[in-house]
Amino acid sequence: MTDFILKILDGFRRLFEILKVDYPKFRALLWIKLTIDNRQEKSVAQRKSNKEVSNSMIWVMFIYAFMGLFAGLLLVQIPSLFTALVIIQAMIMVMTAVALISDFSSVLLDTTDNAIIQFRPIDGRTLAVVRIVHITVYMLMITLSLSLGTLVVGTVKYGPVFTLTFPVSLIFSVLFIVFLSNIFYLLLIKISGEERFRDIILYFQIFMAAVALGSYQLLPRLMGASLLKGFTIEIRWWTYLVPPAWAAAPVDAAVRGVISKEALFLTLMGIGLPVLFVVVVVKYLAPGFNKALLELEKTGPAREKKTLGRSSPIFFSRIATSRPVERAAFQLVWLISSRDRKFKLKTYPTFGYMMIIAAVLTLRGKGGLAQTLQNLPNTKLYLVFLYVGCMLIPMTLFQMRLSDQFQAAWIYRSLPIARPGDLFRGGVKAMVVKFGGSIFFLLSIPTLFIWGPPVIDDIGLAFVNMIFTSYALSLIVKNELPFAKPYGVAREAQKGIAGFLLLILPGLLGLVHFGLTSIPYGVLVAVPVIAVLIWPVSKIIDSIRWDMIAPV
Amino acid sequence: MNHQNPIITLRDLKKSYDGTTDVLKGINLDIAPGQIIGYIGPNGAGKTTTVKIMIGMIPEFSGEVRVFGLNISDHAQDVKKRIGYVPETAALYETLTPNEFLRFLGQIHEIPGPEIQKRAADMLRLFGLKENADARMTSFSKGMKQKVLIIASMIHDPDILFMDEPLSGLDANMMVVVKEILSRLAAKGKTIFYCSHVMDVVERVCDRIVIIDKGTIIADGTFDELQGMNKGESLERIFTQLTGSSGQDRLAEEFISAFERDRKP
Repeated sequence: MTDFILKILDGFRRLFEILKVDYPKFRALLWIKLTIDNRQEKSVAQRKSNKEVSNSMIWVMFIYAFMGLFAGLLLVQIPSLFTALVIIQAMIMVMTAVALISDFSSVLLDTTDNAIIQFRPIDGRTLAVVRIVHITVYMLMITLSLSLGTLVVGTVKYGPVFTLTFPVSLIFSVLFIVFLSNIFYLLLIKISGEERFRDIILYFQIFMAAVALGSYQLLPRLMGASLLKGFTIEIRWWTYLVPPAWAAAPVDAAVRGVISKEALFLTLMGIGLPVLFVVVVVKYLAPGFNKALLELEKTGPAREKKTLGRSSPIFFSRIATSRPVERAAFQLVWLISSRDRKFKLKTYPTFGYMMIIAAVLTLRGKGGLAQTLQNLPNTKLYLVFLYVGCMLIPMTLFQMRLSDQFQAAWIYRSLPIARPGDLFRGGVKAMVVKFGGSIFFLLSIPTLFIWGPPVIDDIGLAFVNMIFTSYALSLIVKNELPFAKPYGVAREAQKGIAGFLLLILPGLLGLVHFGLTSIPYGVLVAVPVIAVLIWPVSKIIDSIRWDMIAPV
Repeated sequence: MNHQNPIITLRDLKKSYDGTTDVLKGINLDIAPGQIIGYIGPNGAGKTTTVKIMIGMIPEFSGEVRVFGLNISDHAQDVKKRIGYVPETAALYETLTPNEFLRFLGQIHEIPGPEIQKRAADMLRLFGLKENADARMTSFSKGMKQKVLIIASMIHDPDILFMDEPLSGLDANMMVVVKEILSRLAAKGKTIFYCSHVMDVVERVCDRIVIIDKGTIIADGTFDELQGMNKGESLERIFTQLTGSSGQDRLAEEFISAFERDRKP
C-alpha cells in the first residue's frame, strides 16, 4: 500500500520539484510516516487477540462506503445531474472536512517527531509538504470510500464518461478541503500567539465539528424528501461561490457533452483555486509552519491557581468515592481530563453535535417552529433530550483510556494496588460525575422549563439510567486503565464503531422509559430498580485482576 | 583560547520564553575545532536551550550564533548537514527497525544507499546490535535505544557532535567504548559539545569545561584551571561550590528531617 502510494507520487515528481520540494527527502520521510502508521495498526492486531478491531482503517472506510451508498442513491432520485452532484459533493466535502478537523488534525499539528527530524538537514517547506501529503492520503481514502456508491450508480446511469471524470473532480475537492484547512491553521499560528494557538484551535475544532455534523442533520430536513424530487439548482451568481458546484460542473458538462460558459467558468474555479492554494501554502506559508509548530511545543510555565484542597475534584471525590485508590483515581482522571487538550478535543465536539441532534429531533414538527414549541409540553420528547445525554457519558469513558502520555501508566503497576478495578471505578465515577452531572444539569433546565415539575421523576430515572449505561458500557474497555493507551491515526476511528454500540443500550433504556411513562408510578418505581442493577455491574469491575489488564 | 578560527561562536546569546522568563542572559563562547567541551550546569540552567539554538532547532533568539563560521539564522540547513545530535530524551521512531531508521537518515543526509547500509551494518555490529538490526525498536531497552541514538548522531560523519547525556542507560563497558570513540574523534579534529550531569565523566573526558548557571557562564577553562581557581579536589566539589546557593549538606539534612516533621501529630 505504502509503495503503491509512493509510486503514484513518483509520477508527480516534477510537480513537487517545481514547488521546490526536496523530492528524495520528501519520499524518505513520507515512507517513514506511512510505514509507522501501518505498523501501529498491525501491532494492535497482533498484541490483542480479543474483540479489538484488527484493521480499523478498513472498517472506517467500510462505514464511509456504506454512508456513501445513500449519496449515490441521490443520483437516481434527482433527475438533474448537476443538482445531484452539487449535493453529493457538498456532503463529501463536509464529511471529509469533519474527519480532517476532528480526527486527523493531530497528524497535521503533530510535533512529536521534532526531536528526531528538526536538527537534520531537511527544510521547512519539504517537512510541511510531507505533513500535507500524509494527511491528504488519508483524506483521499475516506473520500474514495464515500464516493464509491456514487461512482457505481453514476456509471450505470451515465456511462463511462462519468466513471472517468467524477474521481478527478473528487481529487480537486479533497485538495481544496485540505489546503483550505491548512491555510486556516497557518494564518492562525501567525496571528495568534503560540500559547493561545492550541486553545483557539481546540475551540474552533469543537465548534466546527458540532456545526458540520449538526448541519448534516439539518439540511436534509430543511429540504424535505418531497422537495428533493423536482429540485434543481440553477446557476446564478452565488453558484460561483459554492465549492461543490465547481466540482459538479465539469462532470455534468462532460456527461452531457455540452460545455456552457458557466460550466467552463466553474470548472476553472474548481481547478484554479486548489492549485492557487497549493502554491500559496507551499511557497509562502509552509516554511514558517514548522518553525511555528516548534514554538508550540514550548508551553510557558502554566501555574494552576487553585489550591488543590478546595477544588471540585477533591470535593466530589469525597462524595462519590469511598476507597482510597478509587478516590485517587477519581481525582487523577478528573484533573487530566480538564487539562489534556487532546481529551477535550475528542470529547467536546461530540457533546456539541449530540445536543444539536437532540434539538433537531425535538423541534422537527409538521407545522412551523412556533407551533411545534406550543405542542411540546403535550409530548414526551424530553426523553430524547435526556437519553442523548445518556449516550455522551460512555463516550467519554472510551476516551478516558487514551493519552499521548500513555507511558506514564507504568505507575499503576508499580504501586501497591490490590484491585486494579478500583482505579477503573474511580475513573468511571469521575467521568460520570463530571460530565454526566454537568450535562444532566444543563439538560434539566430546558426540560423543567418546558415540561414543568411533573417530569422530575423522569429526569431521575434518566440519570440513574445514565449511570447504569456508563457502568455497563465501561465493561467493554475494562481491561484498559485510565490514560494508558496511545492514540494512533488508525485507532482514532474506532470511536465510530463504538459509537454504534453506544446508541443501542441508551436507546433501549429510553424505549423502556417511554413505556413506563404510561404506567402510573412506573417511572418512580423503576428508579430504585435500576439503581440496584448498578450493583452487580460494579461487582464485575471489582473482580478485575491484574492479569486481565492489557500490558502497557 | 589560542586557536584563531573558532568552529562555534556565541555572541551575547539571549533567549527568553514569552518575554518574561530569561533562560539565557548573554552567553559568549568561542569553541576551537578538535576539542571536547563539557557544558555543565544545574537543572534548568539553560544547557539544552543553548544546544538547541546552536543546532537550529530554536530559531528565535537574540545575539549572534555562528557555526562553521556560518550564521545559524541564515544557514541552518548548511549547518545541519555537518552536525550530529544526541537528544536528552531517547526520541526515535520506535516502530521502525534500526536499519530502516538509519537508512532514512542516510536519505536525509544524501548518502548513497549502499554506503549507508555498510556503515549501519558496521556500527550496529560494533555496538552489539547485529542481531537486532532488523527488529522493531519498540522492544528495545533504554540502553539499546541509546546506542541507536549515538549511531544515528554519527552515521553521516559530522564535524561537530552535540551530545546531551549520551551515556545514559549504557553499561560500563559500553561507556568506556563511547568515551574512547569521542576522544579519537576529537583527535581527528572533530568537535564535541558534551552536556552532562555526571561530573566524573566530564572531568575525565573533556578538554575544556564550561559551567553555566541561571543563564550565564560562571566558569570556563580546563579542569586544571578550574581546580587552581577553587581549591576543590573534584569537579563535583567545584561545581557545588560555584552553583549551590545554600549548603548541600544542610539541604540533605532538611530533606531527611521532612520525614520526622511528618510523623509529629
